[in-house]
Amino acid sequence: MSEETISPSTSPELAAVPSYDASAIQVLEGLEAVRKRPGMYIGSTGERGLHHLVWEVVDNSVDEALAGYCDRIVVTVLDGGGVEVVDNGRGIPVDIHATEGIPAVTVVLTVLHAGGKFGGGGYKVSGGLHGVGVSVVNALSKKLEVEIRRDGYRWTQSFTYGVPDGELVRHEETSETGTTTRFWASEDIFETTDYSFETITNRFREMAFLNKGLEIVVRDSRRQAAEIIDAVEDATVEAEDIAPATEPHRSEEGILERTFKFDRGLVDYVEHLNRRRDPAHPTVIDFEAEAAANSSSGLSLEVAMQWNTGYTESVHTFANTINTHEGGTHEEGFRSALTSLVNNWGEEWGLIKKKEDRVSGDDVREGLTAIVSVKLSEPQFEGQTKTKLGNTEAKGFVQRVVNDQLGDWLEKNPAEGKDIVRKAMSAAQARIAARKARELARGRKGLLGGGGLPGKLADCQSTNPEECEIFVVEGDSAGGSAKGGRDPRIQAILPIRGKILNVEKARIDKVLANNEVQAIISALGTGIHDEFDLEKLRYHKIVMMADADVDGHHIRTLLLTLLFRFMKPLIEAGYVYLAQPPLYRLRWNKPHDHEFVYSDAEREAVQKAGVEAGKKLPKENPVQRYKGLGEMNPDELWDTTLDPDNRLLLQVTLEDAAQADEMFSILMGEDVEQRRSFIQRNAKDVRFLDI
Amino acid sequence: MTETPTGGIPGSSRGGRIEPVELQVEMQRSYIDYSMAVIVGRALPDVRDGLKPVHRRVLYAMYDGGYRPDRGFSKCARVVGEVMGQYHPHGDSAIYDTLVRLAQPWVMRAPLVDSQGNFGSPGNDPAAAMRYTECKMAPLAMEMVRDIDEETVDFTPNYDGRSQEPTILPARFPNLLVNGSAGIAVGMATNIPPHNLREVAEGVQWALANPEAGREELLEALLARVKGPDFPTKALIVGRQGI
Repeated sequence: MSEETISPSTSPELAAVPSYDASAIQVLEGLEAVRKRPGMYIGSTGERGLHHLVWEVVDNSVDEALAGYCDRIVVTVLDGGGVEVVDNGRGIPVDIHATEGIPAVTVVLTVLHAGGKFGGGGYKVSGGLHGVGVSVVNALSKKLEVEIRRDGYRWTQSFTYGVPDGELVRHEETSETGTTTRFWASEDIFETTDYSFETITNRFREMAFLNKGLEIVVRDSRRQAAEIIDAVEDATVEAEDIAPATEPHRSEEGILERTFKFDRGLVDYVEHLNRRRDPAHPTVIDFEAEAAANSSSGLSLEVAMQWNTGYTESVHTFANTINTHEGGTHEEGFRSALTSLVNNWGEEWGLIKKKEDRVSGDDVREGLTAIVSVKLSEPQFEGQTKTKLGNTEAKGFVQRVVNDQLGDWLEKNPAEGKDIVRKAMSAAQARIAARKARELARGRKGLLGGGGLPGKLADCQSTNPEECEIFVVEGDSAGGSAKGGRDPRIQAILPIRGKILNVEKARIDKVLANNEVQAIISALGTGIHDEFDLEKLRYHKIVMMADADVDGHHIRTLLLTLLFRFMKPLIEAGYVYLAQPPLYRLRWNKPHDHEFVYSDAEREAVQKAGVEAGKKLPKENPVQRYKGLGEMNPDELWDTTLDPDNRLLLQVTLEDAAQADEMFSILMGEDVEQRRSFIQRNAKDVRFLDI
Repeated sequence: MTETPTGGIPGSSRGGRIEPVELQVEMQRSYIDYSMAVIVGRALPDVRDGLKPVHRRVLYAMYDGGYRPDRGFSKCARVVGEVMGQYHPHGDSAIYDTLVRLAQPWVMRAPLVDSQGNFGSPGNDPAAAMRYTECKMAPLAMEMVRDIDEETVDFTPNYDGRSQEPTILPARFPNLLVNGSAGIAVGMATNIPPHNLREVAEGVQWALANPEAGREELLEALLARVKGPDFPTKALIVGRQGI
C-alpha cells in the first residue's frame, strides 16, 4: 500500500481511482459468496456445474434413502430450465430452529454449512458431504420452490436467488411425507441451463445400482424432448437389453420417462456392465460387511464382482455413492487383498506350483468387472477432482473383509475359483510372452536395418526410405514373379504365406508370436504401439499386392487390420498403398501384342475395339483371367503393376479414425451377429462373385 | 520399356498415377467381396444337390474323366489333377481333402466315392498321400449325375473358359438331407445332420404322391416317415424334443 492512499489530502486525479483501502475489503456473507464465486462450490458454471445442482438436491433425497426412510425419488427436467426432485422421505424439518429462530427448512436452504450431516444423529452416512448442500443450489437459482409433507401438513416456501419470498406457509393436512424441490438455475450465473437427459439418466442409473431397492424415476418433460423422443427410444431400447425396468417409455403426456430400481443392487450393476461380454464363471460374487457397531468410523462395504472372458479390467469404486474415479484407500485395500488371496488360494489348491508362477495384480484383474462401494461417516476426498478416498482406515477394513469373504466364497466354490485362477495364470503367461515377443521384435531392429530382417524379405539396394517401396505379396508363388520383375534398386518384396492372423481376435502375445506378423513388423522397422517410431520406417511406400481373387481381398483386409491396429500412423501418414494388378489378358493372335485389362468393363471395351481394328483372338483360351500373380511372367508383372512410371496405385487414406475403428470391430471382431447384419445390408455392393 | 508415355505394352498404360482410396471404403468393399464369395460360392451347399462347389466339381470331374464304378480304381492324384486343372483353380490339398471326405464312410451317411487304400480312420488319422490312394465313383454317385448329358441342368464356362461345368448336378435323391452338410462361411454357417436314405426316399415319394398337401400336412407326414437324423457313426440322441 503506497503513501498516497493513506493520506487524505491527495490529488483529485488519484481520488477518482477506486482506492484500495479498508473499504475495498469486502466480507462476503453467506450465500452472497456462493453467487460471486460459484466455481468454488460447484466446480464450474458450465454444464458440469449445472448438473452438479441436480446431484446436490438428489443427494439429499438419497441420504434419506440411505437412512432408510425413502424408497422412491422422481427427478423431472422441466420445460424452461427447471428441475423438480420429489422424494418420499421424512421431509426437511419445519419446526423453529433453536439458535436461528426461523424454521429449520429455511435454515437449510439459506445458511451455508447447515444440515443434518455433521453428526448429531440426523444421518449416519451421507453422500452429500462433499458439497455444501442445497443452500448453494438456492443461491444460484433465480427461483426455488420447496414443498414439504411432514408433521401432518403440507408446507411450502419459495426463494429468489436464495432470499425467501415470504414465510414458510402451512397448507392443508396430509398424511404423506416427503420433500419436493423445484429450482430454476440462473441464466446469469450459468453459461447454459440446458440439462443433458443422457447425463442425468446415467448418473441416476448408477445411483439406483448403488442403492439396492431404491426406485429412481427420471423424466424429461421438456418440449424438445417430445420431439426427439422417438430417436432416443430407438437408441436406448437397443442399449438396454438387460433390465426391462429401465426401458424408457412415453407416459401419457408424452414425457420421456425411465425407471431404475434394482433389487439386487451391485449384482445387477455387474451384470449390466457384463451384458455384452461372456462371463468366465457363472456366479456374480457379492458380499457386504459392516464395521463393528462400537467403532467410530461407521464403515460398511459392499462388493460385487465377476470375471469375463475379455481382457480389460473394469473395477469401479465408490465411497458414499460418489464415484471415486481416482481410486483411493478402499481400492488399494481391494487390490492387495485380491492379489494375495488369489495367489494363496491357487497355491493351496496346487494350481500355482512355483514361486515364479505367482500372478501379478494386473493378471488377476484382467477381465474383472467389480464394484466396490464403501460407506463411511467421515469421508475425506483428495486428488485433483476430489474423487480419491483418503481415509486410511478404509484400506485395512476393505482388505480384511475382502480377504475373509472372498476367501470364504472361494472355499465354497472351488470349481469357479479354479477357473478364476486359471484365467489369471493365462493372463500372466500372455504378459510374459508378450514381453518376450516385444523384446525379440526390438532386438531385431539393427542400426543399419540389416541382419535382423526376416529371411524371406528380398530387400532393395537403396537405404533411403523416401524412395524405397516394399511390396507385401501373397504367397511364395507370387513372390517369385515379383522378385524377378522388380527394380531391385528401390523395390523390396516380402512374401507372406497364406492368410495372416486376424489381429482383431487374437491376444497380443499370439499376434507377436506369429511368424508372418513378425516378418512384417521387423521389415517395416517401426515397431508397434508405444514403441512405434515413424522415423524408423524403412520404406515410404508400403504396397499391398494381393492376388486379384476373393482370397486376395481377404488377405488385404487382414493386412489392413494389422496396420490399423498396430501401426495406425502409417495409414495416417499415407504410406500405405494398394497395387492394382490386371484382371485379364487378351491373347491377340500374332503379330499383335497381348493386352492387359484391369476391370470387366475395360475388357469388353478393349476387346470390341480390338476386333474392330481387325485383330483376332485365338479360339483356344482367348482371355486369360489372372487368378494369382504367380501366373504372370516377371516382366509382365513389372509392366503392369510394378513399374513406377506406368502403374496405378491406390493410396489408403484415413478420414475418420473412430468410424474406421468401429468398422474394423464389426468386420473382424467377435460379434457374428453384427457382421451378418452388415453383410446383409451391403450384399448388393458386391463387385464380383468369383467361385 | 517405359520411355513412351503410354507404357511398354498397349492397353496397360496407366501413367504411374496414384489415386486415393478411403480405408473404410476399401475395407468394406474387399470384405464384402470376400464374404459374399465365401457365402455363395464356397462354404454353403446348394439345397438342390446338397453339394458345395468343390464337391460338385470333384464328382463331375470324376464322371467326365471316366472314373466310374464299373471300371477299376485310379490314383487319386489323377482325379485331383483333373479337378484342379479343369474346374477348381485352388490348392491341391483342399481338393484332395474333399475327395477323401466324400469316401469316408464315417463322414458320409452314403459315401459318394469308393476308396482303395488308407483313407484314414474315425480317430482322426489322416489319409495316405494322394499318390498312394486310389478311388472311383460309388454306384450311388451315378445317381447324382444320371442324365446329365441330356440337358437336364445348366452349364457355365469354367474359370478359363476352355470347358463347361454344371452349375448343379441332377441329383436323383435329396443328398442334402441324406448326407447332411456343415460349413462355416462369414457371418453365417450351416449344419445339417444326415438322414437315412430309405426314410427320406419314402418321405419324398409321399410328397410326390400328394402334391396338394399343405405345409402342416406335409410336415406331419414327413415326420412320420423320417424318424430323425441318422448318423454314420451311430449315435444316441438324447431328448427327442428337438427332432
